Amino acid sequence: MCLKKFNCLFILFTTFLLGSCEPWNDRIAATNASLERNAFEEISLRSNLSKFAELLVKTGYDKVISGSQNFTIWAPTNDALQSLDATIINDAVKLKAFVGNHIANQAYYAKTGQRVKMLNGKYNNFFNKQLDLAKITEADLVVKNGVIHALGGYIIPLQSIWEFVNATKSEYKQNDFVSKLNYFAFNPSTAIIDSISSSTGRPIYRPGTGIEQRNTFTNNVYDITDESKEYTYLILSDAALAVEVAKLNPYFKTSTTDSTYNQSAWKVVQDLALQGVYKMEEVSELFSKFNVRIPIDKSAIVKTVKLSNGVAYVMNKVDFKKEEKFKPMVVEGEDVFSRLSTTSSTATFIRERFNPISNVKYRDIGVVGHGVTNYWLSYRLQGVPAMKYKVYWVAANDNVPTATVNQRLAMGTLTSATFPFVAVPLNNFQEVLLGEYTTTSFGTLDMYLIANATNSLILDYIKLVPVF
Amino acid sequence: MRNFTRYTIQVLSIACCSIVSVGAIAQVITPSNDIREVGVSTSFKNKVSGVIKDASTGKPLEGIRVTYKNLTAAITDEKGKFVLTVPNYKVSIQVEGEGFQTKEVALKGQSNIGAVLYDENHSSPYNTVTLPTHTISQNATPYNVGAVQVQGWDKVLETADTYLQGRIAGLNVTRRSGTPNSGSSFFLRGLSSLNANVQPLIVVDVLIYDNSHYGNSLISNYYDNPLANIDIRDVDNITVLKDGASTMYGTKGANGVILITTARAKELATKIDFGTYGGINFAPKNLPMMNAYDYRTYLSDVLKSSGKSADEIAAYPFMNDDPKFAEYYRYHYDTDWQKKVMDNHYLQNVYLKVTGGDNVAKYALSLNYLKNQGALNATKLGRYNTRFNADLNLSKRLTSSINLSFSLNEQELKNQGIQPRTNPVYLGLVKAPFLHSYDVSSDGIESPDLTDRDIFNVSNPAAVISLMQARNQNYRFLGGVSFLYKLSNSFDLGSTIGINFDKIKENSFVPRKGVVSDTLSNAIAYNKLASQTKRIYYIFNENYVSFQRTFAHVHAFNARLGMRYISSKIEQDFGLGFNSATDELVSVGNGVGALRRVGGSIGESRWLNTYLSADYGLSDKYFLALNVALDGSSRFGADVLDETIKIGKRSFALLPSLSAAWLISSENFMANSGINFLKVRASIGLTGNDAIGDYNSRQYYVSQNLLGMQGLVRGNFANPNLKWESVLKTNVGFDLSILHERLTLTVDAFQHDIRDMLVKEPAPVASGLQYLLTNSGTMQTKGFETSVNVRVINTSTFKWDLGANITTAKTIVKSLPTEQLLTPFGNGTIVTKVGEAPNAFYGYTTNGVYTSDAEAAQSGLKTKLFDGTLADFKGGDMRFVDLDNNKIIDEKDHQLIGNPNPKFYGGITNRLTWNNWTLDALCTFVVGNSIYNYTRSQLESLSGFNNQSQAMNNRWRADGHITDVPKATWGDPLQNGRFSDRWIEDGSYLRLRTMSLSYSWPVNKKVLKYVIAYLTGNNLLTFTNYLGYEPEFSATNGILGQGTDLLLEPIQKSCQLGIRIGL
Repeated sequence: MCLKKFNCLFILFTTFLLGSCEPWNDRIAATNASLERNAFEEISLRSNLSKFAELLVKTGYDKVISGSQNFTIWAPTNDALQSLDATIINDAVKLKAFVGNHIANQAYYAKTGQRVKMLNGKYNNFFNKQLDLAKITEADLVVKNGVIHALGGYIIPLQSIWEFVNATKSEYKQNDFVSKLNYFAFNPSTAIIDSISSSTGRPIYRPGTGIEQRNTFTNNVYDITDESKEYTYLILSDAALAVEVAKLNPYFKTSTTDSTYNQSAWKVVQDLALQGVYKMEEVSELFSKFNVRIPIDKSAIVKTVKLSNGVAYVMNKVDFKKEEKFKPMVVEGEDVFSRLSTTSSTATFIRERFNPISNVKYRDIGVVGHGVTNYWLSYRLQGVPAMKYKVYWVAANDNVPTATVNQRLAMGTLTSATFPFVAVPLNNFQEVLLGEYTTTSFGTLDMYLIANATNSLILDYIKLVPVF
Repeated sequence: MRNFTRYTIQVLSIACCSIVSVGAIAQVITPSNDIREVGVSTSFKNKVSGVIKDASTGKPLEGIRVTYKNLTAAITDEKGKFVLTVPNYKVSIQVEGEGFQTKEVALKGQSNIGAVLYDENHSSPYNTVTLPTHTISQNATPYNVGAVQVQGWDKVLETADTYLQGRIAGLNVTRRSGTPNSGSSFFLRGLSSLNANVQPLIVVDVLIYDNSHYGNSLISNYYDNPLANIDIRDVDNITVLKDGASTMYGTKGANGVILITTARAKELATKIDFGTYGGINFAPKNLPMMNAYDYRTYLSDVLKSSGKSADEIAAYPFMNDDPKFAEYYRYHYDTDWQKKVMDNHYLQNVYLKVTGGDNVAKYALSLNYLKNQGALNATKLGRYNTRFNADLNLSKRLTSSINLSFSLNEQELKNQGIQPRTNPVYLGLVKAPFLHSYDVSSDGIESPDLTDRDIFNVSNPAAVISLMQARNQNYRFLGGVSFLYKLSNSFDLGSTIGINFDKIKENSFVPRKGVVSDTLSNAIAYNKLASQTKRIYYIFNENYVSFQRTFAHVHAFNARLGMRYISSKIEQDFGLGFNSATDELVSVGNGVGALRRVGGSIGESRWLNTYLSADYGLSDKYFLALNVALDGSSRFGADVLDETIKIGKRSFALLPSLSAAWLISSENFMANSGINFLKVRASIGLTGNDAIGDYNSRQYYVSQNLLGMQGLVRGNFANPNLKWESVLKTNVGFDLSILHERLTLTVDAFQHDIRDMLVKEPAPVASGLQYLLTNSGTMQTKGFETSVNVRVINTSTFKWDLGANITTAKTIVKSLPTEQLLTPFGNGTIVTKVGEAPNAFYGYTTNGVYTSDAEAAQSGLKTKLFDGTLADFKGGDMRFVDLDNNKIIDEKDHQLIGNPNPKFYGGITNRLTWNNWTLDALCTFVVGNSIYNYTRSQLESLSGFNNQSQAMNNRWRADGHITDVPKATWGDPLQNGRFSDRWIEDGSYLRLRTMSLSYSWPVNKKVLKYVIAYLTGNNLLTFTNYLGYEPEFSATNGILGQGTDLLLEPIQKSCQLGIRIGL
């Protein structure tokens, strides 16, 4: 009996070694049972999401959303998926894109309002418990690795504006034109560095790397390939495009018809994209990135195309005013293209000055005490449309350093006697009209600021204002 | 090891010389008779007869000695009978026998008595207690003393401090941490001071033992433990003076006195004891931290809250799940970092004790070696103790005792506490689980090189374990010689001289590799080299004249008049270096010259204590004791104002105490009652606390570096009025024994009034100093303590002793010079406030988590952001209680949220013996204390890249989510993790503290005296609701900061198997 007792004690002794109580168990128990499951396990458990669960398995996304990056899943309910086109279900690529259009990295709860990137690369708007146009029926089912929203509809992945432009090249001349505005550029960040030059210290890139194709439209107007933002893109019917191009042709007079067309057409299309989605029914006019008024005639809307990063409207008329297309051009005095090189650089001042009339700081150039007879500076403007201009300058001589300024502006060539010498008065901050000048063809315009004898030169800017 | 050998040889040679010289003395001096035999020939006319029986068997005992005050004596015959002559029938007689208890039996007017004797292990009112002046049976003292006869052979890991845990009523022992040798904090009957020392005075064999800590250790949160220098098997008896009796030590007695008596030779025959042990320290159970999966989802939440987009988050290398990605393997582990820093480790121990001698000289020599590796990897302790005690009868009148001890500790350590760069315990918890300790190539091949700090700027715990060095090496020599000269039968002259010398040497090196750099004022510290030496030296001297005599067999006097003197000197010097060229250069001289720093501190003090201790006993029934101390100290101010005695220009503390007891059970009218023993006691005494700082009463200057120039600045406001703190201790109680002494009960009520308490009064900002030290506070402790011992089963082969003690002590502040004092500590605040405990936690109160933005908006509450602007709470933020209803959560909403002092504490002892088996079990408990879980506040901050506890998987996610865990937010701008009741937990626990099973083999006594095997387990089972590794820890030495879990090495389960052989 006693021996037994001691055996028991011995067993107790060893269990003490192993045993201990567990105050943490209560604390780490999940507050919501769903927090113990990952997103896929939770979806599988819900009978109203069983169809979507099948699609997840079919596309392999089940493994993705079981992983430990956070996910948001907008899971269309079985009811919603009933209307889904069988062609999507049967096409593996389309199905993957479709399912991926309902899953996002990171957890977005119902209260968030933002444009969300989906796993298929597309973005969907998630505002007011609505993913794009589909309403959430059951929000914020929190799981271990994110959140699930049951969705009363589904979102078919759409083309982006850029994809649409390329897909409809043959349909619209405008899109054909835009899609061909391509050029190649060097991007050092993608180029492979072979070595560093011992003489210059600069990298030597591997030939053929870092060259990438860019598009003037996406570069200079709006990047309509960007899925994260939304744009409105106007497409002129071929006839309307021809009308607008014809309007501008006289101002892009060149040696060939093709190049004139290209310049005119570019001038037209650059004002046909807008950031943000506009409902054309609700506006009468819009302003482009280049501050050109776009008059909207609602009756001219032929077709509206909803796209993944915005909307495209096909219009059979957009009546731009040519007067609004051409804006005054300014060349700053300090942006010298070339100069007579016989003077010492100490005579040239690039100065920070304050304009008491406009109350803004400005920079100008002064060449004082250069000692060279008819010393000159030249300025070059690119892509100047062929038309008449009023020519102004601002030359503010504040006499610091002491300078007598007497100068003239020669248009086109150094010897051109377009405008006479002007003795520039002290402290005149106003634009001074020099006269009119007409260019005969589209292209480069050179201007020369020439000193009278050895007088000093002062220039804030030259301004060319189109005259119609 | 080489050092050890050298030291051991030195000590052994000292010991041998001593033995030789003792032998030489023995030849010269005429051997004197055993003092006990003196005067036994006396005879009285009154005869008393009786029978002595064995309490467990009821059989008569033969050979039991029955004496009356060493005047008359008798031995029982085979029937247990004896006849003794006594002066009258009011006296008490002593009964003793080998293997049995020693007991006093009051005659109560009877000439025929019967008495039963228990075995020597039995806990009874007749146990021996050691008082500062003499050793006495507990029944004859008017003091409240707690005593344990130490049985340490099965408790090899205990030191004198940890051994006392749960064994003495009133004494709350809290172990500092699980690091071997780390020692304990003692709190005897509540708290006795705010800023001065609160640890009881330790006296080892009449020498005052320096148990203080001087200067900081280089190793964070490490305290060397002087008590570890005494091996528990060398200890015979520990007695704790709890009440006014500690007045005997004057201004060092305010916190009570612990008297440790080391073992001496009891018999002349040579006795050799040899023990060898081996054991395991078990790694603590992991805290439930997130695995790699949960951690990554948490990281996503935190990063998203910082405003990063999904693409930016996906761009982090740890989010890339493409195996072709160059860093894929580096970020796809699931490492259990806690297992990388803590593991099971081994310990071993060898102990040898030799005792013996002749009737001139007796000696006890012991040697001990312990190698103990705690759970923290790459830490270990090597401890070497030697002790030599000798008792010499130099002449008929002159006796002497010698106590020499030398011990050496060599310890490899790690930083602990709030050291986020280098504390491996912390790093093991917060390190990202998907990382690996070693560098990993893009193909997943592991390199033998440890990785550097990670992408989150967190050190590599494995690098801290294997590359960081933190070494403490200390030794202590303590030697004392006492002489006793017998002037006459009544008068003795005594003198003791003691010397203590300590040297503590520390080196530390924080490597560059794997550890986050530190920022100095003028440089980045990539690696850190440090070295420190501390020297502690003191001389102790005590001289006294004592008198003991019994007049007319009625009036017993025992008095002593003496003086004690201590002169102590400490010096601390340290050097810090930074940025040695490589991690191979680890000594301090390799640091960059411009960043080198040196510093140190000194302390000198002198203490003179004159005392009178007078005991009077009337008829062995009425006891009265008077103690008076007159103390002077170099620490006292030059101009102490009131109620002091001045000698010359110096102020002296006059501290009296008076104790009285009535042994009711010895009265004649109690002759036939069922009460075997009943004594009522009362005492009142004034004690003092001189630990007010060596120089705080004087003006001193400290060095200050300003832009590279070294200068001196005022270090304090001199307070020449500064005096000792005083504690008035009152105590009433009784000792009761019934059921033939099978049940013994002691109950005491006490009150401590702490006056002239040292307070750090906040100084005006313009003064440039933070505080001024004044004797301007008062505090009071009230409490009860009780202990009970029961012999539950008492047969000749099976015995079960069950004991329990429980104490409640409540300390409250009675007055302060300001309304309240706030002390910041580990992100929290400690408040000292009138009417409350002096070290209570002071913070915000919470009430769950806002389930939605709407609910948070409805509350209308705001809080200040770090930039000072107000912000609204949102869904997922904590609901803080707005105490002042101003709709702003700020420091005005602080309130008392916890008290770190237990409501109850105590222990339960069990001892079962069955034939050759013994089972010994000790349980300890602490009830009703609050713990500030700083560790959890770091593990559940939900604000950064640190790994979080699994409970944080319940963090608030979305509107409507009902949880008590707030949301994860980068940087925690609304400070959901601020110091609040979220981090205050109940620290109550009940622990199976030690359990040991021993078996004594029946051996041929001619060959071996005994062979005993021990199987011992420590900390085997703990019942607690506390959410940390361990509910027991003590991060500081004083009362401020107690109950704060500062990420120390947790106390570990361990078990040992040992064998003891007696030759």
